[in-house]
Amino acid sequence: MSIKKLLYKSITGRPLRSFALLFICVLMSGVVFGGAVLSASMKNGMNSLEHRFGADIIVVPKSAKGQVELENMLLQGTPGYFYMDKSVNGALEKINGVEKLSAQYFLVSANSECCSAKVQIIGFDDDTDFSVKPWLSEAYSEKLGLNELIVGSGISAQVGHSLKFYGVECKTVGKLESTGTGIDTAVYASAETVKGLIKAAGSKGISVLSKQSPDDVISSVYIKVQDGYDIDEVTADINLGIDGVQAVRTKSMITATADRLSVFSSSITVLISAVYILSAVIMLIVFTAFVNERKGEFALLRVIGFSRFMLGRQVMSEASVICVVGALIGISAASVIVFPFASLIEKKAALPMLSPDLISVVGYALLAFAAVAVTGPLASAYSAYRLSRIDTGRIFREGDR
Amino acid sequence: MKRLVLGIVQGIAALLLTIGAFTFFKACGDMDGKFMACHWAQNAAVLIGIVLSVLALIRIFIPDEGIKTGLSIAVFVLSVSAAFVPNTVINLCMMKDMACHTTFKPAVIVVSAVLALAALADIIVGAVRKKETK
Repeated sequence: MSIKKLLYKSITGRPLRSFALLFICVLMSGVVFGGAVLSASMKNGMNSLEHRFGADIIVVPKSAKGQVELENMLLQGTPGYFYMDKSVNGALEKINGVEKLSAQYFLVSANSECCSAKVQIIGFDDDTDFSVKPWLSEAYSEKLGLNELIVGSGISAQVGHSLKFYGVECKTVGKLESTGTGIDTAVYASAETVKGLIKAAGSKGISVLSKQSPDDVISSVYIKVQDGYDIDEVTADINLGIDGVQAVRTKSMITATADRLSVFSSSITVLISAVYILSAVIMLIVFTAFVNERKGEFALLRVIGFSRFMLGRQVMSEASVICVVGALIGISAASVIVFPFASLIEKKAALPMLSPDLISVVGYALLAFAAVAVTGPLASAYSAYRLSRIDTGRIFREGDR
Repeated sequence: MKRLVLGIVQGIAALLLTIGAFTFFKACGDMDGKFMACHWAQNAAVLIGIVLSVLALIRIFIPDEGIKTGLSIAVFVLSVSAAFVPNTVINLCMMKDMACHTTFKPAVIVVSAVLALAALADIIVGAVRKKETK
């Protein structure tokens, strides 16, 4: 019997023990890889959210609903709309420290003909916009024409496809890159297009929208503060100086999300550490017990010519084979859960998530593989050392088989 | 024994595809009595799932090794086609945060992939055995 065949027989000859060890390795690698990818996705989502705003302050109508709806819209993609008088724009221009400002108009489509859900339509001013344009220009550099749309990455329409809202056929001219935030499921249009949609909604009997024309109202104003001015002071000036509006510092808006993300991230780290340490301890116990149990077998191998080194190598090889197979299965199983169901996890966690790039994913896979493939043989090293000191004669005399 | 295990895996995965597609990983429901495109993708997945279940069950009980391999080839081809039903053959809803995109599509793809792998393994085992008996 060759060494390889002995190794194979040794693993398959004790199916329950081998399966239990394999299960531990699968769990260990799956948790390490899946946890690392999820944690990185959350961090990417948060970074994307911070960059995506582009503005220092967002001004919304003064109501509890305004800020909550804006947060839900931006973070979770829940369609919402709220309005304030357009004159706010002029008043904001007079506030000291305001460098740039741009108004947006939110509209929610009725269940569109393509889809059973409402779609967030954001009308923005192409000339003044600074918070959306940098992202839009990645996809489309021209000025948006009438009935032209740029869609978020979460909308399955491709460039050139048409989408119908209130019976108006709109052409998709650009698609944004994924940000992992709620605005991935929004569509962007010019104010003219939004006016056309409101008119079309009126002709379909949805007259409530006609009272909220972009000519008279706006939904939010994005503000960039001049260098040298304190953002908190400008925010306070707006809140004190202009009635009916609420200025929110974008950083404070995402603080709650960042805190939740931190809790999730810490929980994942704790889980990874706990599973890793527990698995390593179990492996150490199993290998120690298994060497005691197989003392007679190893003594026999010594008698037929196995050196101490060969016995030690045999034990470590068994551990390596089980750990390598377990790590591969664990990483594959975690990939099957983490990647295809990423949107579902994002939805349930209600956190912005953006999958890491391929190179990072390969890095995490290698890390998880190495963590398991090294821990198993290390856990068996002590048993291998004990085997190398085995007293064959004594074992046979004691009949310890 | 190997072929029996692979046959049972195929049967379980096919039944999971059939039952899951209209229960725990179903597509979006109706909106005011109106069904969206994803509903028809769901129906197609269920139909393919039923055919796969019948083939997988026949494959378990038929003793002839050659017919087993033939049925596994059919299961492999059909399960690969099932993976392409959501959003490739039949469109799903427009927004990617909807149930048809977040649950139905990935679940159909994962279950179909498991089924295809089990069928492929069975085809290989069948081919190796046939070669050995010659």
